[in-house]
Amino acid sequence: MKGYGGSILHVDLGTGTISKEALPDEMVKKYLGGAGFAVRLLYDRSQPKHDAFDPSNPLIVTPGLFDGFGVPTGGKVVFCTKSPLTGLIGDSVMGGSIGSELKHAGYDALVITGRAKEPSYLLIDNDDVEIKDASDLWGSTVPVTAETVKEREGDVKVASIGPAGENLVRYACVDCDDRQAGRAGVGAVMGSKNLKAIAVRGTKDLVPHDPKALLDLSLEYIDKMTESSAYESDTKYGTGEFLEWINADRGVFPTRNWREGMFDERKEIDPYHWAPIYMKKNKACFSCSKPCGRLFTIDEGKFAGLAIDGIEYETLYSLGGVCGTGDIETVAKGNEICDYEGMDTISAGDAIGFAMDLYENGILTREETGGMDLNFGNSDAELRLLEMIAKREGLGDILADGVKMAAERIGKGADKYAVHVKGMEPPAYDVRGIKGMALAFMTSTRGACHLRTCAYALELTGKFWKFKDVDRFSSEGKGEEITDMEDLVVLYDALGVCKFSRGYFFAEGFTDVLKAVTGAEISEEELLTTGERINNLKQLYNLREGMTRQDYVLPEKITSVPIPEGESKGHLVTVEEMDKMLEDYFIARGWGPNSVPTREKLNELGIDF
Amino acid sequence: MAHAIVPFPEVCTGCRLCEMVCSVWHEDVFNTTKSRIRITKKGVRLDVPIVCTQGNACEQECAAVCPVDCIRVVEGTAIEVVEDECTGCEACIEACPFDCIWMKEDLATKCDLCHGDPMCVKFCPIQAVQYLDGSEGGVSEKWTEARRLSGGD
Repeated sequence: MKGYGGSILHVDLGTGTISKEALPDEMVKKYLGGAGFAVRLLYDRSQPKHDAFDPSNPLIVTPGLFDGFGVPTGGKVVFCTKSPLTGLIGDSVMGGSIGSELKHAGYDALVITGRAKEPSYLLIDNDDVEIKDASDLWGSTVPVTAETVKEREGDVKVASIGPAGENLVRYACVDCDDRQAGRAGVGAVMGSKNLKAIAVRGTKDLVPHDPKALLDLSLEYIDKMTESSAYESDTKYGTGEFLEWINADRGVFPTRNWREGMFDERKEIDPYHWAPIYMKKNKACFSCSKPCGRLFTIDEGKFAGLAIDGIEYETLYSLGGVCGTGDIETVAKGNEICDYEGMDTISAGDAIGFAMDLYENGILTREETGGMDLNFGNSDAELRLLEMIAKREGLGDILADGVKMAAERIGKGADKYAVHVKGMEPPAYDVRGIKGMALAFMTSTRGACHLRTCAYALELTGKFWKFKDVDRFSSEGKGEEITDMEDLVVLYDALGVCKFSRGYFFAEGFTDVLKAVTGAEISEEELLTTGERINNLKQLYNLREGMTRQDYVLPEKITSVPIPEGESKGHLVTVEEMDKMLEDYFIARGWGPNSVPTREKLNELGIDF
Repeated sequence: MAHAIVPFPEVCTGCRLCEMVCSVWHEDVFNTTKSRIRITKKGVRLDVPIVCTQGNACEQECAAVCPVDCIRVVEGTAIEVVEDECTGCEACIEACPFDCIWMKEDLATKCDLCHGDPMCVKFCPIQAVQYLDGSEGGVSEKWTEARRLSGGD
């Protein structure tokens, strides 16, 4: 089959059983690849209601359909499992080369179940698959692990976890090529399986349907990209390029654990300030011609020698604004700790901001913080706490469970300060001033997330795709908007394309590239239906795991405390607005008011369940 | 001196699009083990394009040692491997001071400049590989630098 490796690889780490099955045509037709394959396999291969750390919980790796085909920004791979943070689907997308390598080895999906008796790594060398001893690697940081496995196995691509994954930090990530499947705790599930790394060597051909057409289309996209107005600023300043605008012009940069929507001490964490000083060159995901990453180094001072791929917008928020830290070197060091220990910078920073809020409100005492003065802006405490979370020491052990569970463990009304949806800590958009995004936080199948709709850009600029004159302060019409954006955006995760290229690489363009890669003629409309199908199946999985309508709720800070200053001053999302938007959404989705897809809808989409 | 693909490791992002489009342009398949340009990556700091100097920074040792004289200019200025004549003896690989000839299954393979319109350069808007006249000032040092950075001597 053109465009695919052709097989699904199953590995049971408990029994050591390794098996392969042919990729079913039906799955290709209905789910494309990447996030589509991931949810189909998660639904079919899980034991309902088992805990995320139960050995039966599958860890699934699925390259996007375009991954490996030289499509600019099209090198993404999905890591998917039941999230230990939310108990729901945890699908996390990264730009590491392991997805393409898997395809070259012949696999469109890797499904790992069971728990190895000893620390292990998986070696996939084309047709040969082996579970190998990793006892000496246990405890190693992410980069040391990757380098050691490469030294041992030669030319392989490596995805690995750090100590945070081993210690079951519920937002531990998986890293490959300094790129992370950051969110939802996929690295913790990997750790629970005693699996330190996955090493892949794939040397088989990937055959496109029409190589000439594919090269021409890809070149067209490169031209569109480089000619677009954002190319220069995005490559120069990265994802944080609009930090000043989000603060000053829109007032929706959540600050000090969502107390404020604007960070006064933001000057130094603005890439326009730090990029010229600390950035050595651009870094890119695999297969990307629009490098928004950067090699960030510190050459002198107490962090001399630091070298990371960063710092992303979300991290400027989580390790910066949320913790009240305006010192860029602290944010960089925190970023390095997260990358080395292997944890999501968003959830980690949010957890620390939450603890600082509790401390300032007298809920956490100095005794409980281990003697640390946890006021906002205490950089040393922030960095120390990151280490403690990774190692699950003291207060770090509590915060390693995410803010929802941490609030339950702490009690004393701590839940009032816990900002999360469905257990997932939020990204850098204060949705009190972005109503559509508030709905998107609630409807996202993995909890508070900006990447299941990317509706922040649409809402903040007022236009995108078929939408125009969108009012971010209004709760009207958001149900349809978010439904349509979810069904569009999930296609990027199925095809393996970066959402950061959605300004010029878009649904109508997908059809041509898809034909050049696979030979299949699929219309834009059919593609969007596929997106809808994938999202409905994600919903079915979540419902099966016990999610109910009651889980669609925004944190108290968003529904009862207005943004105090700036361009979004006075705004919040009332409970009435929340319910109205949800009602609109369930209607737009063709679901019942209890968030359950109707039988008619599932039949219409052809979903087997 | 002839035009060639010149590496600029100081801006290379490590995306490896060059490797991918090289193989599909020449072979109609994606397979970076068949590419005529390779990116060496080391840690977070180093991404280094490795590609033939076309005689600009070497003495064309590959052509000199080839026992069947199959490494030569066929058209334009690119020194290429004439696949029909290659015996796969690997002498050129041993001889290349820049380690930029590889085995593609049973035959040697190296950059042929895509007949004067190199794909890797088109797919690199960040300009980590550029198509330049090798005799220009400072250009030949770029291959030496890439060789050094990638761990060669």
